[in-house]
Amino acid sequence: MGDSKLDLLQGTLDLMVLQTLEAMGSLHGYGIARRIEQVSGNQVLLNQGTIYACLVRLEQRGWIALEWGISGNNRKAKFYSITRSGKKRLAEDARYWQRLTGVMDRMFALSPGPGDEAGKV
Amino acid sequence: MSGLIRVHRRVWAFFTKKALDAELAAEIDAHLQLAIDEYIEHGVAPAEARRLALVHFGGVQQAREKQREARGPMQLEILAQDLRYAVRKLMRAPGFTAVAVLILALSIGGNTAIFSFVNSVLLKPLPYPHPGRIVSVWEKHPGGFRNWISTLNFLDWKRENRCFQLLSAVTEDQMTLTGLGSPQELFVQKVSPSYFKVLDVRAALGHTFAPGEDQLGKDQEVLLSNRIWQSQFGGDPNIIGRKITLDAKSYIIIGVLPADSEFDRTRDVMWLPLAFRPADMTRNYHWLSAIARLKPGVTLKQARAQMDAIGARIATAYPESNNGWGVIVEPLIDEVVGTQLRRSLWVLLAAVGAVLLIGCANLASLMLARGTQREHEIAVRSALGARRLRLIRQLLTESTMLGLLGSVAGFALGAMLMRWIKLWMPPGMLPPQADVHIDSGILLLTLIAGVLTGFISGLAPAMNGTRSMLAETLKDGGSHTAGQTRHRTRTALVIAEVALTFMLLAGAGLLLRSFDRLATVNPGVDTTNVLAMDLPIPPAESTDSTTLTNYLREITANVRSLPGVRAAAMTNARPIGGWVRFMPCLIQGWSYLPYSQRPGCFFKKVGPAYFYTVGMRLLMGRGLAESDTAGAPPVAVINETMAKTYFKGQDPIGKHISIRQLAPGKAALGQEIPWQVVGVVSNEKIAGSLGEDDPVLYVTFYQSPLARISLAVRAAIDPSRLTPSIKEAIWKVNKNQAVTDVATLEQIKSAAVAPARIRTILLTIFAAIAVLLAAIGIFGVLSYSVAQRVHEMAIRKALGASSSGLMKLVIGRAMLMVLLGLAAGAVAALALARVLASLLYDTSPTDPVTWVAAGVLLSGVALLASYIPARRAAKADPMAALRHM
Repeated sequence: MGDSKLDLLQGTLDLMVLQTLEAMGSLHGYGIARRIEQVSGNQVLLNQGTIYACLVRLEQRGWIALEWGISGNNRKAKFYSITRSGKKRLAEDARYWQRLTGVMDRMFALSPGPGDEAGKV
Repeated sequence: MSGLIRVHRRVWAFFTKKALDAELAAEIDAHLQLAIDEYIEHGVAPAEARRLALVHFGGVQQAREKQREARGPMQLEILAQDLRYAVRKLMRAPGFTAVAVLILALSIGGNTAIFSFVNSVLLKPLPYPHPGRIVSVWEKHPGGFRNWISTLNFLDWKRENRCFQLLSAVTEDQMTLTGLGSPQELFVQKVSPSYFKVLDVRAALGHTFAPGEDQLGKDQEVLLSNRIWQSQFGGDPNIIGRKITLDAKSYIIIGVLPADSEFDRTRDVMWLPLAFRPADMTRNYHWLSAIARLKPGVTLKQARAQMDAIGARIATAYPESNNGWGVIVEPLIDEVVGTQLRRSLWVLLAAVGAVLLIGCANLASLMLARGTQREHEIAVRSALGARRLRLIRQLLTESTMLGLLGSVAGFALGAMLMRWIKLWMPPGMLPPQADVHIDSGILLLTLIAGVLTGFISGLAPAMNGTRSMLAETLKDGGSHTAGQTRHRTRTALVIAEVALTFMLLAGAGLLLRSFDRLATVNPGVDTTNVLAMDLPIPPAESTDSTTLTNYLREITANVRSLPGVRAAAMTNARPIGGWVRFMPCLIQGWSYLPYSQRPGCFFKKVGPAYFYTVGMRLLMGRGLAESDTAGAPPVAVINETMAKTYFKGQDPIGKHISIRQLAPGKAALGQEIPWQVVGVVSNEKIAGSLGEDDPVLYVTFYQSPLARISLAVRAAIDPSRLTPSIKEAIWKVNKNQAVTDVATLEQIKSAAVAPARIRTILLTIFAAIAVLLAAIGIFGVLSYSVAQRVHEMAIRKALGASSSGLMKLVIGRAMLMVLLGLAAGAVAALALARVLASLLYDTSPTDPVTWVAAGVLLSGVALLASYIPARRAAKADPMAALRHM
């Protein structure tokens, strides 16, 4: 596809899954993976299979719940939904990310420009 | 909290693996189907859709692995995998497994057995609560050794001490129980009422003595041990309050002690309160022992200081009896477990420890050898991606499992060995308070020992075995560097084994030599065909000395007249084993010494025929005669040692020795008797000690009445056959006379050396095991070395070397290893020689004959072990080797 996709750290994928479930409600594994691909504009390198390791981790921590159901085209699948503690965790993480991106933006704005007085000390 | 839940779920995931795997498979299946469906919706052909879906999904297997990793603890998975693999590997090499387990079992078994003894005898031998607070108290003789205590000294201690919470005196006696079937002689301990409180032992039925029961008149009470309650009184449930007759007086039973205690282990025993009569209130007659419980907060040091002060005060106030005497306070444990026993156990423990080390070395060597065979397997696995740590882990799991199997086998062996030792252990060698058994603690220790041994033995082979370079190993030649290191390690291990074995062998040899000397020591009496037996006489019947003397004379005459009996004589202590009192004496011509400072001698009262009966020789003057009766001048015969010690250079005949008379039944000394020496006899061993000879003085029992009575009989034939007729002869005089402890002098002598015997046997067994293990080790290393050098051997042969030359090469290598091991062992052992010294009789720990013999024996064994590998080297076929080049 040309552009290389972004490698994802484990924690960020967790966050993406939680956010997806918060926004979309109950989804099966395939649906979550497709949704993340779509939202990221296919920029995220996602071997779809890796999502299952992520899901089992979130489930063991009690941030998502699961139940078996029937998918759109009559397939039996596991459906995941976010729990209350998952929502709390999501909110915390989202706050953290916003702070982080804010700081990073300011950091990257510090590139030396022509009228920058900081160089002369 | 969520952390805990998570851990719980992860562990649970390990156990529900199959179900979870199935679920995941279904989920992935569904995922793929949904993807395929979506592609098909977008107009992609089904086959292409499937391909795209799979590509998009990524590696299915990898996804599964990742999910498994995420959901459960990998460590448990890996462990389970390793264990299964280890079991399979071990089962596929039954020869190796069997040898390894055998080696471990032999090494560990000895440890289990000996440690169970060490545990119960040395580590927790006293079953009483707070045993560290219980002490034994003695008077200290001017010579520095422990001495019994006199009545008045004891009472003074009791009154003046501030360091003991409780202080109790103890003395032993024999009393006749009548009214319950035939009269029985029973062993009795008379104790202060606080005795059981000192030990903190409570009665199971009734109660123990109350304070105040040591007053005359209030002391007619009896406490029974559980054992005597069962054996004499049939476990009568209404025993409390029952009256019995002891020594013709009536006593009431007030309590029974709990079952399974140390009081039940050796014999039937009863307790009475110790009440002092006015006649017992003496200061110079020593007959009591004492135990005490320290006051809370008082240390042993403080107690000793205090008692020293009290002892000094008594010595100043009563110099005649106590000048130069002091007080000894010791932890009870030191009295219960003697130095000899303690040291024996530590030596044996060190020995089995050495055997364990040898076994460990053997196992490591064995596994290093096996490592060679597994080079291929490891190389392949490492080519498939296994990391070194993972491989090491798996190898260690295997060796640890081997260790576990070995420890189980070793435990079984050890339990059997312990039982066997207990069976053969001479009675009285172990203190009755020691309850030797195998408990869960020892089982745990054994398992840990085995697991650790397996782990440590497997460490070097595991590290070494995984070091191999991949490419080189897969080639036919095999890796040389790893092989060389392995071989060097094995050689070093064998040298260490030889060193340890040499030490054990030499130690066993020393004990054997010492025991041989001990067993053949001349006891001073002729032990062939001589019988000894005890005739307990209740004190009530022994107060009139004339009646007693005539009674004993009659018995002696009766026994003497039996066909087959050459001689018979009474004595107050049976030969070799009997207990004799040590009496202070004053020799004519010496300046006056207060009683407390006089040297002493053993005092034996015998029938005139005694010397002839036991085979002692008359060296000077005359022996004792029938004419030395109560009215005649008091005469004595001394032994050689006494003559040498107290009459250096002089003629002892005619000299007088003053000794105070002992009266049976009284805790007091009679008047001083000036015994005149009329003869000198050869030495006999006294008081169970086969060591140094002591000074002994003999008088007839006509002139000094007997309290304890034994009869010695010399027969023309095996005396045990005469026992029934001897008993008959005695009963003809008095049908109620108890006859106990019948034994030949041979048996008595054997019993005296029994502790040394069992100690020697055990150490020899362990040394033998060590030799076996060392031989296996040498054999293994040499076989491997020869196998590796087959090419070299063949080439040598092709170049003209003879078979015998090749054999010499191999054997030479073996002997070099052995020599290095012997040298190392000798150096180490010289350092430890002193430890063994106290257990040896008349043998120096550096006895050269023993050491040389041990070295020669070990070299011989090594020679044997190297024979087969040497022959294999000699048989190397040059043609086959050349073909392989």
